[in-house]
Amino acid sequence: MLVNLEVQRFNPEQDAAPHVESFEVDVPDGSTVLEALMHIKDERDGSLSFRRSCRSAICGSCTMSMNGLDGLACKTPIRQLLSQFGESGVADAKPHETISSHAGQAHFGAAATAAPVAGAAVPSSSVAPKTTNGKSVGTVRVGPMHNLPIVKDLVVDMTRFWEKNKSLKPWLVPKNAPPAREYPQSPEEMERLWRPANCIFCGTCYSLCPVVSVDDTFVGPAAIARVGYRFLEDTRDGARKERAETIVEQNLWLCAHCYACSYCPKHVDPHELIALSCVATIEEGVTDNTGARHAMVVADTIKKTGFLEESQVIPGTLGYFNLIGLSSVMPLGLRLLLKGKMPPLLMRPVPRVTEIREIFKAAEAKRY
Amino acid sequence: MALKQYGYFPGCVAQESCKELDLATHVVAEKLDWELIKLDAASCCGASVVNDMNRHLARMLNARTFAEAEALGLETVLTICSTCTGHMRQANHELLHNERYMKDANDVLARFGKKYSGKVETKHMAWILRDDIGIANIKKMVVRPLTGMKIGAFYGCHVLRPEEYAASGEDPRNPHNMEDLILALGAEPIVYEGRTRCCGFHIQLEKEEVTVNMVGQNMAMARDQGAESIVTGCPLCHLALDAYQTKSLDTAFGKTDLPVFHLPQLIALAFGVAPEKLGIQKHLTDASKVLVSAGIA
Amino acid sequence: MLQHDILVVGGGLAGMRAAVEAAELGLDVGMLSKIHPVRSHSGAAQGGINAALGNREDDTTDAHAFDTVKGSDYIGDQDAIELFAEEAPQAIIWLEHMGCIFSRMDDGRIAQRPFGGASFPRTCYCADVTGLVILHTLWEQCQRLNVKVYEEWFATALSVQTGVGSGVVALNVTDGTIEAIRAKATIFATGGAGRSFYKTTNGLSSTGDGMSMAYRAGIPLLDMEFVQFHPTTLKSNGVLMTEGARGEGAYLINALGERFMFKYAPTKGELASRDVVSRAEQTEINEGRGVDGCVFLDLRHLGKQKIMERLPQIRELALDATGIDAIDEPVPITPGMHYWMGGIQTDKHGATPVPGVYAAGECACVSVHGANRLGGNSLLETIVFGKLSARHAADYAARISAPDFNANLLESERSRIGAMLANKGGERVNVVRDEMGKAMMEGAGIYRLPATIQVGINRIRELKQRYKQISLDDKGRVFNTDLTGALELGFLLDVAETTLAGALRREESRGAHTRLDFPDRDDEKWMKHTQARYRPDADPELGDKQVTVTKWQPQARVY
Repeated sequence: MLVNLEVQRFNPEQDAAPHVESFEVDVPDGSTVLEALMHIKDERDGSLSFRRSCRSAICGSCTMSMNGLDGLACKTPIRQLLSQFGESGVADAKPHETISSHAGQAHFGAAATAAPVAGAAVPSSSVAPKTTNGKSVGTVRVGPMHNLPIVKDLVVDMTRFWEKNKSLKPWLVPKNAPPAREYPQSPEEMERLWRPANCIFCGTCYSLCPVVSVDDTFVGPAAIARVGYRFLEDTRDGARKERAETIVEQNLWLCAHCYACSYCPKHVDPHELIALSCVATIEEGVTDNTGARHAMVVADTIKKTGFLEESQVIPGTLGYFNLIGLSSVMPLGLRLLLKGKMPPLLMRPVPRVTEIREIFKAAEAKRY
Repeated sequence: MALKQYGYFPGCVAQESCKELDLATHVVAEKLDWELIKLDAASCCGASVVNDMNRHLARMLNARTFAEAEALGLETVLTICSTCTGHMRQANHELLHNERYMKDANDVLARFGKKYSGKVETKHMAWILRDDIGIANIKKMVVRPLTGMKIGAFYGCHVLRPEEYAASGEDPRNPHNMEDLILALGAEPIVYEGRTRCCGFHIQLEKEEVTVNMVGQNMAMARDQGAESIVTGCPLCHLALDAYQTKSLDTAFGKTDLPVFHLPQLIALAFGVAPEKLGIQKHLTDASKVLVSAGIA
Repeated sequence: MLQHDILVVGGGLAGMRAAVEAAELGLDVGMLSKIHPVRSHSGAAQGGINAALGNREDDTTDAHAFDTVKGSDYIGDQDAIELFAEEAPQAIIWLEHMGCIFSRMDDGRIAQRPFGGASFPRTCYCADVTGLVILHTLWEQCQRLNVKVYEEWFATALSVQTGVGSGVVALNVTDGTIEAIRAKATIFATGGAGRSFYKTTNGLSSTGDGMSMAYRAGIPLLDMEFVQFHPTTLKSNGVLMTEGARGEGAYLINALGERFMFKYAPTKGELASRDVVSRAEQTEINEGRGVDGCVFLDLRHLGKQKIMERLPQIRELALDATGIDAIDEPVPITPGMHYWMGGIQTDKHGATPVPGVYAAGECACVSVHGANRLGGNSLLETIVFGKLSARHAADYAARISAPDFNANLLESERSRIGAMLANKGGERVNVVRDEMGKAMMEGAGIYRLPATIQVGINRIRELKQRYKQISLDDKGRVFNTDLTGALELGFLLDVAETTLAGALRREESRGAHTRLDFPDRDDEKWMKHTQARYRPDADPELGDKQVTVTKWQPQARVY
C-alpha cells in the first residue's frame, strides 16, 4: 500500500528548528509505522533517526507521536491510524470507516491519545496534509514523543525521565534478612505486582501527561506506577512508609486524574496504579499534605451530607488556618460570590444519609 | 406521559456552584418532553477523590445510587457531568466484572433493605441526545440557529477515558458527538487539539498554577484554531475554563477570553430560550459580546 | 582517558549481572551499552529460567546437567555444564532476593513449568515476560549501586596490547565523539547475532558486535555453525511465541489437525528439544502438511483464563501481527532463527584465551549449550556466567596493574570511521545486509547442503568486498544510526562468514546442525568444537578444540 508519511525532522547540526518532510512509500499492507520508517531509512534516507530494537513491543524504544497519538511505532499499524483519522491524518471530529486489511487491525486496545505539548514542535493540525495524487491510502504524521527535549529527528533525550524514575528509589529494600530460599509470596501478593511488572519504560504515559507538559516537578505516571506503586505493594519490601513519603514529595498528588495514561501499550494502566498509590500513602499515614487532606475532607463531607460540599472542601484542603493559601483563593471566591455562583455554605443532607454512613463503615473496614 | 423518562443525577457541582447547569438541563428536558426523575437520595459519585482513598467506598456509594434507580424502575441514569459519568461507569464496570465487589456492595445495601442487580447504565446527556433523540431531530427543533458562532467543544476526560468503561460510542481520540451537536445548532464547530485534553480542575487546590497553565494551553489551542467560545459537558471543566482563563494571561500561552457554555445552555439558546433564563450571566468569562454578535442578546 | 577496573560491554542480562557483581565486590566498573540497558533484547525472553529448585518435583542439579548435556547433543563441555547446573538454584534465589517478580505456587514458593528437553518441571517464570522482569531487577540493582553506565555508546574495537586485553574504543552515539575506554578487564556481554539472518526472532540490535570485536582482536570463535531455530515463531515478522506455551500444554498441529510431534519424539512430543521440534515442523511443511509455510500452535484447550494468566504477551503479539486470537484459533507458526550456541571461546569462568578479556551470555561459547540449547538455559547462562566472569575478572584486575591501551587503535578507529563517513562507493547498508541475510537463510538454515553453504560462503566473500564501498546518507556526528548500522553490518559479516565456514566443515548432523548429506551424528570424527580464527583479508582459519567429558558418555539421543 502507498502511504504518505509526514515526518518531523530536526538535525541540530544543520537546523534551527524542526520541519516536516514528506515521504510517499510503498509498504506491505498491514505494516506498522515502524516498518514504514525502517523502509524510509533503508531505501530513501539513511539519515532519518529513530530508536528501535525489538520490534515486538517489549524494549520500549520506539515511542513517538503518530497523528498526535503517542505510542509504540512497532505496535501501531498504519491502517489503525487511518481508521481513526481518515486519510488526512488529522483529527477532524468526523467518523471514519475502519479501513481494515485483516482482522488484526480491529484490535488496538492500546496505542495512544491526543496530547501535543508545549516545547515539542509537532506537525500541528493546522498543517494541511499534502495531496498524494489520490493513490496513497492516507497520511501518517510522525513526530518525537512529547515532554522531553529532541536530540535529532524522532530521538529525544530521556535523561529527565530516568531521573524521575530513580528519584523513587527503584530497588527492593528488603524487609527481612534474606532466607536461605526464596521469600515466600502468595500468588495473590504477586498478582498485585503483575501490572507494574509489565511496564517497559517506553515513556508513552510520560509523553501523554498534560501535567508533565506544564510542570516538570511532577514525577510522572511511569515512575509512580512502575517504581512507586510496584515497591509500595511488594510484600518483601521494608521501606513502605519512607516510600510513601518520598512519592508524596515527588508530587504524587499532582496527578490530574485525566486518564491520558490509560493509553498504555502494555496495559499497565498507570492511572489505576496512581490511585492505588494515593490509597497506600494515606494508609501509611502520610496525610499532612494537600492531596490527602483533600481526599479526606471530600470523603468527610460525603459522609455527613451525601454531597461533596464545595464550600467545605477548599478550607478543609488548604487548612482552615492556612491564611496564605486561603487568601490566594479569595479573589476567585469573591468573584464567584459577586456572580451569584458561591456554593451554599451548608448542604442539606440527602434523604436517608444514615445509609451512606453505613456504607462508610463497611468500606473502611476493608483493605483496598 | 413524557416522551422519555430518565433517572436524573445532576451531581454535586450542578447543585452547588454551577446551578445554572441544572437549570438549563431542565429547560432542555422540558423542550424535549423528557421526564427527569431526580435520584434525590443519591450521594456524590466520589469523583476521582474517593478512588484515591478507598475503592470499596467508591463502588458501594455508586451501587447505592444504582439501587435507588432500580427501585424506581429506571435503567438509564442521565448525567450532565463528565466526571460523574466516568466514575459511575467505572464503579458499575467494576461491580459487573467482579462478583466479589458486587457481593460486598449488596451485603451492605442489604443492611438497609436495598439491592443492586446490575441493570443500570449511566449515560451522559450528550450521548442520550445522540442515541435516543438523534442529532437530526435536534436540528429540526432549532428555532434560532447559532449562525456565525465559532464554537470549540471541550469534552472532559471522563467521558472519553479509559476507553474500557467510558465507552463513549465513538473514537475517543477523534470524537465528533459534540461537534455534531454544534453543527446541528447552526454554529460552526472548531476542531482543536485541546478538545480531548484535561482542564486541570482536579489539581487546582494542589497547585493552582498548573491548572492555570493547562487551561491556558487548551484555550490557546482553541483560540488559535479560530474558536470564539467553548461548550463543555462537564461543570468541573466549566469551572476551570471559565474561572482561570483570566489568569491564563500570565502563562506562556497568552490571553484568552473564550466564554464557556454548558452544553444544555447552548441547546436551549438554539431552541429560542433567552440567555438570562439559562444563568449565562453568572459565568465569569463574559459571554455577552459573543451572544450579541450572534444576534442572541 | 576514561578508565575502569572492569569494563562491561553490553547492558543486557549478562552485562548487568556482571556489572552488579563487580560493583558489589567494590571495583570501579563501567558498563557500556549501545542502547539503554532496559532496551536490551534480554527483555524479549519470555518463557523462563531453569534451576533445579525442586519446588514441584524432586529435581536435582545432576538431572539438570544431564538434560543439558543430552540437549547439547554431547558437545557441551561437561565441567562447565555441571558448574552451570549447580550454580542455578542460588542464581534464582539471588534474583528473587533482589526483588525479581516470579509466578508463585499456592504455598508461596516460586512456580516452575515444564520445558522442552527437561526431565522435570524446572523452568521458573513470570508469566511470559520472564526476561523483562529479570532485566528490570538487574537495572534496579545497577541503579542502587550507582554503576557508571555509558548509555548509547557503541564499542567499535577491542584493545589488545602485548597479548593482554585493555579496554575498547567506543563511539558516543549522542555526540559522535570516539574515545578509548581503558580497563584492566573487559567483559563482553553483547548478545547474539540473529540479524545476520534475513528473518529472526532477534531484535534489531542483535548484531554480533562482541563476537566480531573479539574475533578481530585474535580471540577464537567456537562452534559458530550451531544456530538454533526456535520451533514457534510468527511467519510475518519472526516474533517469538514462547516455548512456555508448550510447557503449559499447547499442541503443535499440522494442516490435517494432527498432533504430529509424537511421530518424531514418541515420549516427549511437543516438549522434545528445540532442534528436534523445529526439524519435525520443517519436515511436515516440506512434505505438504503445512499451510502457507506454517504449522500451528494450538492453545485453545488451555482456556482463556490460563492463557491470560500465563501467556498474555504472546497472545497479544500474535493478535497484533496476524489478527488471530490464540484463545479461539490455532496460531500459524514456523521455525525461526533464534539463538547462537557458538560464540567467543571462554573457559568455565568466562575467561577467553586473551588475558583480561571475558565473555558471558549469548556472545560467549563456554560451552554449555553445545549443538543445541535447551529452553530456559539461556537466561540462566547470563546470570551464572555474568556473575562468574565478573568474579574472575575482579580477581584478575586485583593482580595486575593497568595495562597499556593499544597505542594505535584509537587513531585507526577514528580514521576508519572517518573513512566510512566519507566513502562515496555507492553501496547501501540495507542492500548488503539483506543479501547477507538471504545467503544465511539459504546456507545456514535448518537443513544444510554443502552446495548451498558454498554459495553462501562465496556470497559473503563478495559482500565483504562490497561492504568496503558502503556510502552513508548521514554524514553527521549527532545520533548517526546510519553509521552504527554500517558498523553493525561489518560485525555481522564476520559472524556469517565463520558460521558458514563451520557448517561446511562439519560433516555430520548434530543438534541444530543438520547436513542432509551426513544425516547422522559422527562422534568418532566430530565430537569436537570448531574453532575459527581471524585472518585479515582472508577466510577464517578453522581448527578443533576438544570437548570436556566428565561423566556422561555419548549415547543415542531420543526424546
